[in-house]
Amino acid sequence: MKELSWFPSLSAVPGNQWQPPRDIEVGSPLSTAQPVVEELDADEPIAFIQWQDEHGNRLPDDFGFGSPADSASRGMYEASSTREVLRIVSTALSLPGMKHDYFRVIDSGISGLWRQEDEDPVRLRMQEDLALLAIALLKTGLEETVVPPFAYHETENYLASAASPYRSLIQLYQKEGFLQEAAAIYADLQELPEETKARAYVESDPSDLLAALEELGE
Amino acid sequence: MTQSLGQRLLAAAPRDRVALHEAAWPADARPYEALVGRVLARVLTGEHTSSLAAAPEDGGPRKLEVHGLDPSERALLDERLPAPPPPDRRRPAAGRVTRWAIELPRAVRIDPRFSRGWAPETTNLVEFSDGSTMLFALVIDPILGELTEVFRVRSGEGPHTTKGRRGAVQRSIEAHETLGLDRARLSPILDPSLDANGVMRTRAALVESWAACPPDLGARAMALLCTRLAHRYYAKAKKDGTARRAQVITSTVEPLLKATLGEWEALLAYLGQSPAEPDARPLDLGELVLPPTPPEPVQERLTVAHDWFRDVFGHAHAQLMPGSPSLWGLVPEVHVFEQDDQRGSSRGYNPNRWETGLPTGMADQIRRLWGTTTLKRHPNVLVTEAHPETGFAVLLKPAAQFWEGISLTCWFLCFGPYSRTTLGGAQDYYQHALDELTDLGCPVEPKLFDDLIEAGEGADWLFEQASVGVSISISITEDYDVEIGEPAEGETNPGAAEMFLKLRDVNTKHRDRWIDQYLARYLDARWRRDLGIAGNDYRELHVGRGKPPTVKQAFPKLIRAANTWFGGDLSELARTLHLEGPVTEPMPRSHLELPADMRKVRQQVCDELGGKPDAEGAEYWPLRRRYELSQQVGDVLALWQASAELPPRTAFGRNWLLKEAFPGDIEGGYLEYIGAIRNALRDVKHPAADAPLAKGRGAKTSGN
Repeated sequence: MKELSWFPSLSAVPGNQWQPPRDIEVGSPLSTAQPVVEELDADEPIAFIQWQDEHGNRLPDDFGFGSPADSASRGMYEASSTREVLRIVSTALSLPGMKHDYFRVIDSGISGLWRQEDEDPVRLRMQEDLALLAIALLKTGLEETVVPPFAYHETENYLASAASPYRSLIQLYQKEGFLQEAAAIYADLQELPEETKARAYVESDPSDLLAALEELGE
Repeated sequence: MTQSLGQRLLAAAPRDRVALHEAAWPADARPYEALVGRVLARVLTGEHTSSLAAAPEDGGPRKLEVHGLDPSERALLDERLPAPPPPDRRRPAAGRVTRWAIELPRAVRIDPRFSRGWAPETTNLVEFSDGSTMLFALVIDPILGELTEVFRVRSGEGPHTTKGRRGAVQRSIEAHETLGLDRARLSPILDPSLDANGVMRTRAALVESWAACPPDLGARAMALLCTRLAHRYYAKAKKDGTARRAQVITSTVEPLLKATLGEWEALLAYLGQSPAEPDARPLDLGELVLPPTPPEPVQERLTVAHDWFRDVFGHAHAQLMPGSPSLWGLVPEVHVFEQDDQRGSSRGYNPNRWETGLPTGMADQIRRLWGTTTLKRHPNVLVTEAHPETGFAVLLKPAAQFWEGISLTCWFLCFGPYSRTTLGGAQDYYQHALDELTDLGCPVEPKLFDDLIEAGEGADWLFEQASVGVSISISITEDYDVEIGEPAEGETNPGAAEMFLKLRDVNTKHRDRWIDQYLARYLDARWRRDLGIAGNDYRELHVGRGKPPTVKQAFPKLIRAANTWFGGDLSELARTLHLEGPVTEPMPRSHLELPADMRKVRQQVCDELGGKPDAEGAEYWPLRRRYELSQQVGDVLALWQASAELPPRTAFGRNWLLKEAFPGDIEGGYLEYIGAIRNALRDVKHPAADAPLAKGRGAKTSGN
């Protein structure tokens, strides 16, 4: 049986600096839940992870499979303000989960912030922070960060999502004209393993824009 | 020869323009000019001058709340810059206001790091409800647009060529000089060696310098916009300095005129120019007279539509029984993107259903009557319309759209998987189509909805916005067994079959009555409206030009009506309406024919490109886009029919599609696409396989 690597909150994952905001309250049973691997009888046995409370009871969940972090991040799509997205992300990252849960929470938080239409400068600062956090998480082990255990699809289907925070940062920096920083992130992106390269949208190299500005100044 | 003021304005150095402008600006417009200056100064100093109201629930445009204006200032703006009328009764007039540019002076003072992107692009669509909003849309927006152009160049959002970038920077410099702002702080923004801190520092320095704006800012703002207007005027002017109104005042120039001088005559007086001959003595073409009875090509199409409504559409819906396939797709769509994609069939949608169940000969009739069209690039020749049903669908809409919609709503409410509205919400949901029918003089009785609601009484599920139990569900029992709930066939709600029959009969009763009372009137109103709009649009162009338009110029005015009523034949439509000009010359039909089995060609192109409508993972979009390209082979071959050459990439267009289908190599990708088409055509021994690839701007010449 595959051994599960999980954490009581993102702050417990070695190699990252994230700390839960002080105003986030996380109560039982979500905060004390633990994962167990179950196998189902079917034509082909299906393994899946189930999260249980300290008494071994399955956590109440619409789907029955999600980690507390994953469960707490639902509702991101309906969030209607920057502050609401931040509250959801912060709560989810304060709960037990695996690396890929945290990565998904962060990634959907970045997307959730793109969707917000409030003119709130915090929105962009948080996008930057979350993207940097996701990249830091990837650097602790790319495959375990983007591929869920007992993945339904082939591994390669998940790998391309590793590019997502890099892409967000490049977009964010380029918009502000921070081309040196965007080019550096782009260079980091090129260092990802070959399997992650099958991306649908390949952003252009910000260095091209720097060259265009050089030409403009001549 | 003495130069007009307009010509001197263009020749003057930007800083000298305000003096020339002041001499020509109408005295009665000075209060407006002064108000523009006050508001612009507040924007440039970073005051909180506007904010967006909460988004409306229907997802429409948001209102822009303008702060700090007194009632007399608002009244002046309402009079000077009235909001345009709403496009229809359910939508307010709306347009774009670039929020990030307007908010930049405030943003750099709040957050210098992310001041450029803090107003999301999605907030740019605002409701045009009053004069103060129009001030921001027509005056503040273009001025801030020019001042901030340099930031767009730095972000790579502006022009993509060096020449284009230089032009953008030059406009930004000119705007600074004309407005009396310090331009010295502009160039450092473009320094490629700046890191983020450097960008923040130079950006803040430039934007904060805008606060030192001169007291005559209003006059300078108007001088800037009037200079832009003068550029557009003289680009169209003859040597004697005259220009025709219709040529100058295009949809992009009209907002500039509104923002400044308001009227064409005021612009001429400002520039010191006389009206052009066609404007001074406009042609009198008289009233457009439509034929008293439908001309033969129109009558043929009316007959098919009439028969289709009664014998196909009405009959099929009246006879529909529980357990049958749904009739989704019976009414053809106005746009067809994915005719070979069968994924939707599991949900009951069949894009090719429109041609099944037609009486003998009707499908051929539809192909004959709507099977030709004219292309914008080659408006002198008729080519094959790859989707004849789309022209037919335009005629059927909105009547068929409504009657099909209400029938399908009843079907999906009863049998799932889901309906887009409830029985109680249907009248509101279909209000747009109902309004259109009322405007055509063919209203649907509101009693239809009362009768449906009465028939549905007791069945609460008809009134609840929720999916019914036909979806796949996976659950885990206490014993950890997996139970997969398969979609149930047919009835899923209690009494759904009986209920559907009741609702169906209510629809049938009302639809039959509407057909008896209004169908003939509907069809008559449609051809008269379509031909009337086309004729008047053409004649407006003719009068504006002072001479008949060319065929290319006439194309956008006539093509819609020509496709619906004349198989795309612009000349036959023009002769029917007694229009004058080269567009009345008879159009030949291309002698080149499409392959007999287009589906096979599309499929082979799809296979060769590796296209898939439903690939998984990271490959989804490139393969999806390749599949979509394969669906557009008909458009490539229509261009071949018109010119005997395969089109260059620039003629094919759809750059966004090529870019996503072939990331990083759009040119090579297009050649691969053309190569796949050639191979598929060779297999069916079609002559277009060996047609040359036309040379186009930026296209390579090979493609074999």
